[in-house]
Amino acid sequence: MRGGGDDHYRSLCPGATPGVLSVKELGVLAALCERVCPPADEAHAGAKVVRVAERIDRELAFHTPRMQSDLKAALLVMEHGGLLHLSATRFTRLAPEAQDARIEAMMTSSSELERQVIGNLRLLSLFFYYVDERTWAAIHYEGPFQPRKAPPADSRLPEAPHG
Amino acid sequence: MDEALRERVLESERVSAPMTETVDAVVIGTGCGGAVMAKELAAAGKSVLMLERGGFYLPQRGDFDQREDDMFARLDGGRGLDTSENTQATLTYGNCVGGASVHYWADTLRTPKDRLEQWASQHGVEAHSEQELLPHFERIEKALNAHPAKEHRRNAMNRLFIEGADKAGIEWEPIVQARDDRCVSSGYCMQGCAYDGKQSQLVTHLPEALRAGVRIFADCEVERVLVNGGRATGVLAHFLDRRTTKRLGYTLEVKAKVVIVAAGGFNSAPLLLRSKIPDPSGQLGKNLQFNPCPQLFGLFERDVVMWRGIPAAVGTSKYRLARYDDGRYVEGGYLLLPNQLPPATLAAVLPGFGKRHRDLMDHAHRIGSAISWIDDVETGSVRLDGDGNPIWSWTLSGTNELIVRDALKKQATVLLHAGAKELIVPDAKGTRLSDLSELKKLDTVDLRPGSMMFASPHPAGMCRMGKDPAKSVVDSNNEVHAVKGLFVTDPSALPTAVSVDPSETIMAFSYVAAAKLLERWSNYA
Ligand SMILES: Cc1cc2nc3c(=O)[nH]c(=O)nc-3n(C[C@H](O)[C@H](O)[C@H](O)COP(=O)(O)OP(=O)(O)OC[C@H]3O[C@@H](n4cnc5c(N)ncnc54)[C@H](O)[C@@H]3O)c2cc1C
Repeated sequence: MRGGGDDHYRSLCPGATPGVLSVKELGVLAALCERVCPPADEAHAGAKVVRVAERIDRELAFHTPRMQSDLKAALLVMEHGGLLHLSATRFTRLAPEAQDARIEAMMTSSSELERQVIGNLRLLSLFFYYVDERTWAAIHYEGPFQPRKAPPADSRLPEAPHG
Repeated sequence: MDEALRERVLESERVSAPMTETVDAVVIGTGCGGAVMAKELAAAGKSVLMLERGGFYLPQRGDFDQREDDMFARLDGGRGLDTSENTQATLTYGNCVGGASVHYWADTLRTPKDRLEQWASQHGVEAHSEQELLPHFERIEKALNAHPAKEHRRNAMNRLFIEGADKAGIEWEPIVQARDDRCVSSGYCMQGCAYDGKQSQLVTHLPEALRAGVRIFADCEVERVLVNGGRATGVLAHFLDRRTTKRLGYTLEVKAKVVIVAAGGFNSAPLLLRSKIPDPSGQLGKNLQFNPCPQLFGLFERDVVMWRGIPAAVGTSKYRLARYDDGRYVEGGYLLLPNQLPPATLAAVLPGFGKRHRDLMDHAHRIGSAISWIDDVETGSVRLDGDGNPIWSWTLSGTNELIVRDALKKQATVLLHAGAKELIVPDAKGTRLSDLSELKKLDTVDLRPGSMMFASPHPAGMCRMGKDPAKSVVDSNNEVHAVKGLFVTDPSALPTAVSVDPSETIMAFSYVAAAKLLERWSNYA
């Protein structure tokens, strides 16, 4: 079984500076977002370009300590929960197809905890992917009529386009 | 809102020291329930201070930028991400000056007579009959320009709903809407109206309250109500830094003759629990209902563009009341309406992931949807964690589950009759249906926590009203049985959920509460 030091997790979110999450947690989240969000192609930017995991990390700064620790715990279950599915391999060490199978298995698991974990991480990944204006053309969304004004507690990445 | 009125709203960026205030009435929360109370008391000459945890946002300042993430951050409790403990319910509530009315759909419905009668007969609620509420309903409808939605307001989803309902033999009706001609049907009601067309509290009762002399402190979170010798004496609050959402370091202490809690259906009970309000009934924080919302999606061959236009110009109340046969649930117990979700929220709700989910989203503009408010039977509750923050417990079970399944079937019937080629159930498996013969799949679709989530737009019941102090938290004057001068004037005080959208009920009950408080003002002077 290959483990995962910081280098492994850092390689999953290159260039990112974690805020609320640790390097490991951010790496797991980035790996999950890659599978959950649309695969990158000519129409879809993909999770890496949109930097969905980093966006979620920034958002967490504005939430309660309980919400932050729940999410951290969820990411640990995501990474190490394989034993329930008779696999000792960490999520981030699985091949992409095996990651999909793990996600699928968790979504319909008999364990309420597993269903909650994947249900919530999936929801956050998709929401914070599709609020990015680079994703709108692919889904025929023309965007808002008003110019953007950043909210006082803004969790967007500073370099994200401000559509 | 004009400049002079805005000056009466203190925002935390202007606060640089601890503060104390002495007023006749302090009102916690600036939503429908608080706004009516505040303006009525101020109009009668009382000094009134409103405290609001959320920020003060206005279209005139360009704040309503129509982006889902930005507007969740500005307007919504938990920035739109709060859930029940088991994550089965997403908690949708307001957190800004104007409260949930700023992101609401503006459906404006009177309390059904049967519900008022039930509250009177089963809970001993007095002086809230349809006859007694009528003048208040009329006044609210006038102030909010409430009218049945006109035909030109029907977006493609509304028209599909009508077509489907007609073909399925389900009567539908126009829904009364609180809007004026400034409404451009942009589709951004849930992001706060950038045009002041939707008649939220920000454009109606709050300006009236401010004109009558009310002051509002925004970014000001009440930690607890102060009680001395069985009597409410004021509140202790903290100013929040809007940029970090954390405490700024300055407190506010308010001394008041009466304390009015209108912090909303999810938050008033936790505030009273935090304040250690005596609760001989044991009902404080119990009986939580919120009209859980199942929703179903249909893939059409023509464009629907669900996110444009007003959400629900039409709907049907045909199934509002559940039917039972010999105590056994048969059918109904919900309103059924066309749905509206903005794109990123739609993406989060649609099932699946990766390529399969992308294939759905590539057709997002052709996805239509129907939604229901379930008239809950089983209830949830709230408790506090070690930091005094609320933890809401709720699990779909029992009759609620039967009602959800029946509502999903009616949604499927309407969407299929409207021409949907395929239906998408937002469960973990992403169950699909392609014709009416498959409705029975909805009997077994996985509704467990982590499989399907339910929105919770209409919280009620956790400080319920009643005659008997052993069974209820507030009396028919909205005053807490066990604490003199402490009132709850939001849907927490309703004995149950309303079975229709509740804002008009909340406002009407606040009118009654204000009138009764003014009649008895000498008791508190
Ligand atoms: C998406 C959505 C659509 C809806 N559409 C409709 C509709 O079409 N028609 C309808 O009738 N109803 C609708 N509703 C419901 C309706 O908006 C609410 O029931 C109603 O506005 C609630 O009013 P309220 O006064 O009870 O509380 P709220 O509006 O929730 O106001 C309470 C306020 O108190 C503040 N507060 C809480 N705790 C504290 C504290 N400790 N200190 C200081 N302030 C505090 C909150 O920030 C909040 O602003 C909708 C709800 C949602 C979520």
